[in-house]
Amino acid sequence: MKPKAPLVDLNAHVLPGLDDGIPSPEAALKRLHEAHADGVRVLCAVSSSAVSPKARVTTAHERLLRVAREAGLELQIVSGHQAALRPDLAREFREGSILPLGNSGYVFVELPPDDFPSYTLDALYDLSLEGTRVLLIHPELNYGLQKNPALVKKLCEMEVVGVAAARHLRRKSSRVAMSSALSLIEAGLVQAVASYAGRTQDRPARLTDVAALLGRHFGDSAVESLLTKTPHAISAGLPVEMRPASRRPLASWFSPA
Amino acid sequence: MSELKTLEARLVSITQPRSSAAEQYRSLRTSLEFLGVARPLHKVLVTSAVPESGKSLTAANLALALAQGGRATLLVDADLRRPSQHHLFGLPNLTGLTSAVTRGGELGQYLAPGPLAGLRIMTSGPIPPNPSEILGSTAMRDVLEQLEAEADIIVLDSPPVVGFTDAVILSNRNDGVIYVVRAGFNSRKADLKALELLRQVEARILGVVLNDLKQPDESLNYAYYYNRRPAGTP
Ligand SMILES: Nc1ncnc2c1ncn2[C@@H]1O[C@H](COP(=O)(O)OP(=O)(O)OP(=O)(O)O)[C@@H](O)[C@H]1O
Ligand SMILES: [Mg+2]
Repeated sequence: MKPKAPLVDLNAHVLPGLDDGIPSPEAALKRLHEAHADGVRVLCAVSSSAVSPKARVTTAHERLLRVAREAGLELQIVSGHQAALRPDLAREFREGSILPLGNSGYVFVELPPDDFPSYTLDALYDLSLEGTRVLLIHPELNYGLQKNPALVKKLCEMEVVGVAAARHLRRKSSRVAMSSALSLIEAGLVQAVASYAGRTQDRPARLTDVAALLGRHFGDSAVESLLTKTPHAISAGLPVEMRPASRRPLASWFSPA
Repeated sequence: MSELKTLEARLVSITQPRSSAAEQYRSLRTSLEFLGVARPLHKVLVTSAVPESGKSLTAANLALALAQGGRATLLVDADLRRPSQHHLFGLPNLTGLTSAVTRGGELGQYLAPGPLAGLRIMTSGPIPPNPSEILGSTAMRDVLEQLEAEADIIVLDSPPVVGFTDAVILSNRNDGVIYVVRAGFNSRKADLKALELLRQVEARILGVVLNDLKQPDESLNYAYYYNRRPAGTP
């Protein structure tokens, strides 16, 4: 069952000229058209806080809004940071150097790929004490989580919401990333999927093409919740109830692991 | 954000005040008032042995019934494992108990108004990595003490006793425990263990609520049995 518009894409690196985003406004517009054609009506344009200070995000966001308006695209675009995990995230947020996602109160955090530093849980808790809710972008890439289910459970208990990248749920993706994404959905850490669109061809602004794979593993209601309901709730600033998804009995036959 | 304001229908004390379920919660209130005559009850902990027994629903409806009875009531979500009062009352829970304990400051800022004038709610706040450490801290004790000045009675929701030390820690800092058992859950073994754990810390078990007893013609069934020993005996 393919989800229909209006969809919310929580994480697309389409801010022109920033980090691994899109070089030019024209190229960015192409991605916006792609997202719109896929049914997206709210798109969160994201860039890493490590390389794009607040002012640059704001400027790039305005440029993006302008090209979208000129093209007559019916698409709401909000912006935000994706903050690299550091011990003092809370202070950075307090000082205003980390932007939340639009005015949702949610903040994207990115774990380093091969490590789950010992301060991680405390840093995330401190950040949430600032009155934010924490999102983890593509937790499926973190090696520490792949190795240690107890950490996954802990993050779920702390109501940290994982957002998987659609590219890891496509056939061309690495098997490790895909099986890790699927296990994190099953464990309940990953509650939503975002396009994670970017400059390269393997990062299109598409979401609905992963519905079939998700449906095969977890059923239609999980597809609805991962691609539609939860992204909407997050962009509206509403809390997400952490629910594990149960695998459909036969799904193991198709499992990439 | 209109969804944040929706009240859970299962809060029968307010959504269906004439139902027999609501009536049962009022009887629970009366029993508490009766028990409180001999030894004052300012802080009451609601717990159970196992998950999903109805602790949160009981705590919420009891708090509503107390507020309806004219008592200045505070509902505190001290279940840092699976907090749910914010879902029941449609509150944002961006701050709450853990913020008060970890960050301190004036407590009023962490209290949300409930759906009735006499009820205020302190949701859990963000979940820490180490809930028992927070609940057992001296800062937590200070917060509970300060909260006493804010209301006539405080009802605390908590996680199940078996599996976590949280509820046992909390029971020791409250005036009494309301113990919830859900009909049909076959939790006997766990119940015996939980009651033993509570007894070890000399918690005052006020009574046992038997939740969800099936009765004909009632969608939401609720019944309670009460500790009939004279008030004041442990
Ligand atoms: N008497 C009842 N009638 C109908 N549904 C009930 C009843 N009691 C509890 N429930 C439902 O069962 C579920 C668990 O109830 P509740 O959250 O109150 O339990 P809990 O003991 O607080 O659980 P947890 O251990 O997760 O904190 C909820 O969905 C609740 O609405
Ligand atoms: Mg509960």
